[in-house]
Amino acid sequence: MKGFFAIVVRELIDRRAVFAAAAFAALIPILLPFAPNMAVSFASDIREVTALGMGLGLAWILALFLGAGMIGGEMAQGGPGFFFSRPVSGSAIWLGKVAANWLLVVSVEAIVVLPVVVLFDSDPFFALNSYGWWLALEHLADGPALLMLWSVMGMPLLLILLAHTLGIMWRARSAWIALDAGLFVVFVVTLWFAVLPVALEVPVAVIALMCGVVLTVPVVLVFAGWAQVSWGRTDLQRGYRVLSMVMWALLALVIAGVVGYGARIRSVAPDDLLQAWLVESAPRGPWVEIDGPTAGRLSFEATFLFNLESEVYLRVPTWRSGFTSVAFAPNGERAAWLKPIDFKRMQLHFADLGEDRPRPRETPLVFDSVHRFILSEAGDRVAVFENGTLSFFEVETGNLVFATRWEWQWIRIDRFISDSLFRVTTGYRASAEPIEIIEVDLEARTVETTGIVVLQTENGQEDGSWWSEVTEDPIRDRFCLVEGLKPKRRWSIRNGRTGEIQVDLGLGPDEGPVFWSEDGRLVRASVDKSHLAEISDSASGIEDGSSARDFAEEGQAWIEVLSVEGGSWRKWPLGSAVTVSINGEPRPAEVSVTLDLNPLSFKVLEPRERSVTVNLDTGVIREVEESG
Amino acid sequence: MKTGKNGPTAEVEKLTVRFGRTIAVDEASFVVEQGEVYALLGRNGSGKSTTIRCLLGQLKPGAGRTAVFGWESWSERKVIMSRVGVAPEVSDVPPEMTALQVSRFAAPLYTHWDHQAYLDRLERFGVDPGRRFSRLSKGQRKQVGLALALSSNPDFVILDDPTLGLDAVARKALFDELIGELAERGTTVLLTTHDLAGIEGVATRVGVIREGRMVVDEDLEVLKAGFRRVRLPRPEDGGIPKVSGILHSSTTGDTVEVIVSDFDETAEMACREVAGDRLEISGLSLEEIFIAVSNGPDGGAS
Repeated sequence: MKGFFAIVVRELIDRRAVFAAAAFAALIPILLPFAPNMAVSFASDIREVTALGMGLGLAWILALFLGAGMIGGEMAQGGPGFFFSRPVSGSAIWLGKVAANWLLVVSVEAIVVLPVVVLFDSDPFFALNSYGWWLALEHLADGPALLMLWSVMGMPLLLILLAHTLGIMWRARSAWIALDAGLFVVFVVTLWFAVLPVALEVPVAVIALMCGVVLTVPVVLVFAGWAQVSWGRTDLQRGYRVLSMVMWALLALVIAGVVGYGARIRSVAPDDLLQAWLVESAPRGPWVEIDGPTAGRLSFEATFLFNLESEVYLRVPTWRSGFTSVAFAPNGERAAWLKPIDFKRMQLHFADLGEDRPRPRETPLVFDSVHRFILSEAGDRVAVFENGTLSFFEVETGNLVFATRWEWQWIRIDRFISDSLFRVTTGYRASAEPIEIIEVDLEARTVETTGIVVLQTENGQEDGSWWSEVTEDPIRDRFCLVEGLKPKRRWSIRNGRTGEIQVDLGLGPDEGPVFWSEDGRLVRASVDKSHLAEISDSASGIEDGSSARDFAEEGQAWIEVLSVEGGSWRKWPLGSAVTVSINGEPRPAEVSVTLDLNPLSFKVLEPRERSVTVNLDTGVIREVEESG
Repeated sequence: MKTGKNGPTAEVEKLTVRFGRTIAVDEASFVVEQGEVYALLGRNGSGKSTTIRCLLGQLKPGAGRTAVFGWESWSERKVIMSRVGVAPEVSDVPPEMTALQVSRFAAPLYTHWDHQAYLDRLERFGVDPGRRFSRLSKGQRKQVGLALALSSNPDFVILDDPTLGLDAVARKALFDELIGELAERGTTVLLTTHDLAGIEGVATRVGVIREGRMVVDEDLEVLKAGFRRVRLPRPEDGGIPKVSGILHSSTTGDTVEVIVSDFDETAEMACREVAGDRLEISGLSLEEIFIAVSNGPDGGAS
């Protein structure tokens, strides 16, 4: 360590003029607001921004200058022999010089910035944060503090080491520099291709991955410089060759790490999911789409097509949060998804789920911005909503079948009625605008509005809101419409093509799930709200949100079943609950129901829920589990 | 690992160094024993400084080995340098440092650093310790280099052309200092120089390197005893006596002059057979020997 400290002290003394120059530079931000035509009211901002800008700017320029000369410059003058003629190790020489020059640069930053902070109680870091580009960078580095730390401490080190490396290469005047240039190109290209597939699928992971690369570069250069000084010593040519070899060997390891980690991210399997969420089930068959966060993969949320029976799976791209990338064919035999091929375009892929081991297949179909796509019954055709256009393609060949302009923004139901007939039910749920039913005939190449449903607009509760819910019967060509205002909404079953009423179910609950059983019975669940507790200091009582949230609003939960033909509801009580949801039909004529008992009472009570199954024929309710 | 306490101070064994296609040192071998003052001589570019850089562990040999105190120069450089004082050919003290700062830098690195002796030497040389190195004259820089080399009380001093660029007075002061040091401590010295007259009273052994190859490695007295200049009348047949070790021959009028490297009684008898009483035999200075050796056999024949 004696050698290390001797080198550090020598370097600092040798370059002590830098401190004086920095002290002079520190006066500029202090005095700048007094310059003519400067707005005195912005004196604080001017000082902060100037101090930080000058501090970092001078430091980074100085880092380049010092780095280029700290060993290479001395070699050119025969200088390092002075150190190698002393009982000082190569490690002490190298690390001492790097540490001293880094200290110099950081000291310059401190000398320029600290007077403004101390004398004027300013916060330049805060000022810096209020600029747009900085905020963007801040996001990349996962926090302003981390980015500031990197800018102040890490960046000077990187620049010193980079300048040293380039300085040695330049001074060696060796033909090896052509090899280095070639390897640099190979490095960048390899890194690009290693990162691109991850970038397309997991942008967040790439940011972390590239930050990792940036952080490892100084480490690589420290080792390369150490090798150069320790093994090359005063021989510039030999030192350069050693530096080059060690640097590229370590960078190759970095690349291997990036490639390996990228491969690890992309080779994720369902077993790697920390939690699995069901995104969607295929309309028929054992396939489901699941996704969830993965272990040890930089926040990567993976998505799979998963066969619940055979546990065979296919990984599909996780496009972005909330975007369902997979479309199932109604017969459950085919799934299709969009896979990004660059930062703009997506290509349609599909898999035939009937195969023992389905494999992903490319289609020739490439899109820029697809809002939605739907497969036909057997998945032979696909309807694509893209940029105001509705297009239909043959999936395997990519042949365009028909395309039309599409001006409706909101879609409630869209599906192939047959391979040549496509129907869209439009309209926005929170609106009283009429629902339009539109059919596209691919054979006749026509677009026809087949029905318009005018929604109920009578006045209801004063604070009620427009709402309508359309739920399609999977068996018959009809849908259930719930419309109107609180507290009771109008229920009806309507013709799928024309929207005409087939069964008027009268007034019903204003909220709660609607579910069609596999045999075409309509099932609904609801809670008769009765507030068990009303504790509030405000005059508005339980409607006061802040107080009401603290206590459960429980009531009697019900489940009701309508026969296939309509008629009257059969109604069974489920017990006390706040909300109720229908999760599916695990067995024919038996639905799974979850009752949330006190989900809003997190401040005083443990959240609880209760799961039951309800037989739609007998009304028998069976407890599944109770969790606390 | 050898400590070399009782062995030679420095060993160079079949040392070969290449720079690209150029062979700077070609299988050079020599040994510097304890207490010896070894003068390594050679023309510019002959490989002296390269050999010294290898000995100091600053340059890795392409082949062969160098060792100091029995330690391999390359792998044990740091240990070796704690006992070696070096004054390089071109002074390498960082130009912004003053002589005083250099001493302060070096002091913690050596066990026996003698700051006062360093200052005393600078005073004797007339060097201002507070002046930046870049502002010192060439001679003063050399003197600071020598003071640095000696102030750690080294067991082995390596001086690479210490008189280069010095005037006669400075050269004398330097050699006086060196002799004084030697007399005082019996330090082993390896030096390279072109000032052959200056070292003639100092060196105990001489090595001559020519185009990277060692051509002479001998005690100075033995070397000087073997080299003779012989003058004799030109034989009628125009030939010269059949004597081994003739490095140089020249004819002036009816007189032939030869320089012989291994002159002994047999050679003298052979010459007398030709010249009889007109034979003149005289010794050579180290400089004359160096010139003859550097030119090589018949290198200067005319």
